[in-house]
Amino acid sequence: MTPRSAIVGNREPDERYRWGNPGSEIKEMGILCEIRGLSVSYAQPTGGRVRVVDQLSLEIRAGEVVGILGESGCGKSTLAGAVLRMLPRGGECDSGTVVFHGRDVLTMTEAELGKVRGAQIALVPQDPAHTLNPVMSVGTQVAEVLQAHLQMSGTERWARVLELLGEVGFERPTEICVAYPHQLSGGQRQRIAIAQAISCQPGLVIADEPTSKLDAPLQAEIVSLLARIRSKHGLAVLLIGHDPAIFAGFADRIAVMYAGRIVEVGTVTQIFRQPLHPYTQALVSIAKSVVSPSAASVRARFTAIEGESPDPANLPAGCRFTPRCADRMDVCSRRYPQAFLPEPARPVNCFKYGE
Amino acid sequence: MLRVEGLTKRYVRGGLWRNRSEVAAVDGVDFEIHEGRTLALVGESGSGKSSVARCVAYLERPDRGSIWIDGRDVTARRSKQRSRVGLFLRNRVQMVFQDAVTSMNPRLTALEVVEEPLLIMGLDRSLRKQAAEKVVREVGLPPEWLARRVLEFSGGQRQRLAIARSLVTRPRLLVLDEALTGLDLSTQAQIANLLLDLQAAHRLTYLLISHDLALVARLADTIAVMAHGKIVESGPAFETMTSPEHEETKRLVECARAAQANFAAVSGTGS
Repeated sequence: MTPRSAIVGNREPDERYRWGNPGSEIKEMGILCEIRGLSVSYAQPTGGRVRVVDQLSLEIRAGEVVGILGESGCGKSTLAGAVLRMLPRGGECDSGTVVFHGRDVLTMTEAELGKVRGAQIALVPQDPAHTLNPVMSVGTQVAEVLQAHLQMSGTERWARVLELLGEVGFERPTEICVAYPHQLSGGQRQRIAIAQAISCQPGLVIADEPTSKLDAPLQAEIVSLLARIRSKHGLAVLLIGHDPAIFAGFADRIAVMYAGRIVEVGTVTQIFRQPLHPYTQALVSIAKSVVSPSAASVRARFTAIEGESPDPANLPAGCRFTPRCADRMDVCSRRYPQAFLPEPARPVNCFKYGE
Repeated sequence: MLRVEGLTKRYVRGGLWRNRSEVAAVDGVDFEIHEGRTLALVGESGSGKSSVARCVAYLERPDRGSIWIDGRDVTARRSKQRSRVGLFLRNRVQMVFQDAVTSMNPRLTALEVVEEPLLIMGLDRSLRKQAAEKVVREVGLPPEWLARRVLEFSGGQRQRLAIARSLVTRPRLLVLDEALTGLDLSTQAQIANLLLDLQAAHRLTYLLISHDLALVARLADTIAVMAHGKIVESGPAFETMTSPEHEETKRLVECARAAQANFAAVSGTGS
């Protein structure tokens, strides 16, 4: 089915299009999603389970952009999967709650979950080349999401598809609508994935490394598109990434994750100007050295964090960053540091800030 | 060390009979790299930089032009000469491919991956093992890990393994095709340091292919910017980065800066 005509015009806002969750009242900056003590583990081929997200707590307020900064293997994508209950085979939540709009996502029935996932919590995947259907036009794939969640006539639906494509920055939505994924560039496919994610006006969008497969110029474009959509509709975003640069100018708060746990939380400015945890300090200093190359930095060695992230099956005792930490103390390898509050609303799990 | 003159590579596009057309991916490219130096070839996707890399690494034959390595033209036409050129090149030029995670068979052991080039050269087992152990130590991996399977290695470790595989024949020139793309920031810094150390230790020459101008500006001596199959600007790395002349270079510099501008502002780093 192809759209009959571009009937995109100024229409009255429709009740069904209200951003957030229709029928429920979200207080401005009230807590939208609260993750408490979440632990996720995977079954090992050799038997036993390996815990990759460990006792993690995080809250996302309505309309807030929270960044999860961490390196590959730290469990950040597993966290996204757990919130959406879309963990790969063998993955299970061992404990904890994910309360969204007052209800625990982890204990919902499949039918209840079907109403929330895709409609109220949506995902922008890492690589849409793998998630889009190659034999279906992209317009149809956006329409499918609408069909699954909203009651509307075919004409209305196609009008909405074109409107969405326009919203994610396509100048000729009618042409893009009938294209197949292989005819589009990586950046265009990512826009389609964003159109799918925002199609039902979700309250929360989870963007799992939305730019990591794109060239640098495109990365900036996609992030600014997400920022534009977010400020227009006031949706909350959980942005996951390993490059500090994508958070700047977009995220409100950043949670730094290392080996399955959050080690530090702060506003973007706090994290980038005064990082407190030694891991964050090292990451930020690497990012800074890339940003401001000077004549002296040409062919000079890079600042690096020596060593590798620990294997989740074989974690070091105490603080998990200890073996790579420049400021390690005796106590660090004995027990895991609880969250200290050197400043208000600035929890840091590091013994530098208390015993 | 390496001199490329008038390199041209065309690809056929379209169907078997209909819509058949030729595209010049590389169109008359000239450059040279001196021994122990690094040239970075930058450009956006589709500018032809990977085709140049593949021609230099002898994976594809150029349609026109010549490639001189150590004073010898390797673009010989006749097949008998070509096999001799292959032998000549083996311990002079090697390539490190983009995305080490997918460019290696995950079921092989690290030893099998690293020794493969030597196997093709016909070395016997003990010599191969000895060479493999030496080279993995140089890239910062413990030699005991050679018995492990590739799938047990992390992304950064696989990249080290890929570098070890290309160094095992002791080449003089390494062609690095997006070797730092897609890695975590701290891993990227580690691999960049490794490349700098190896270059200093062995007087290696690098041909670096990348779209990340900010990163290569720190690794390369010279930058050559490619657009639509041609080199549009080239010069010393830092100068090209700070005072670009050609439109395409200006655009790339602008993009690199824009991507980092927010971070620079938030973190208080002057750019």
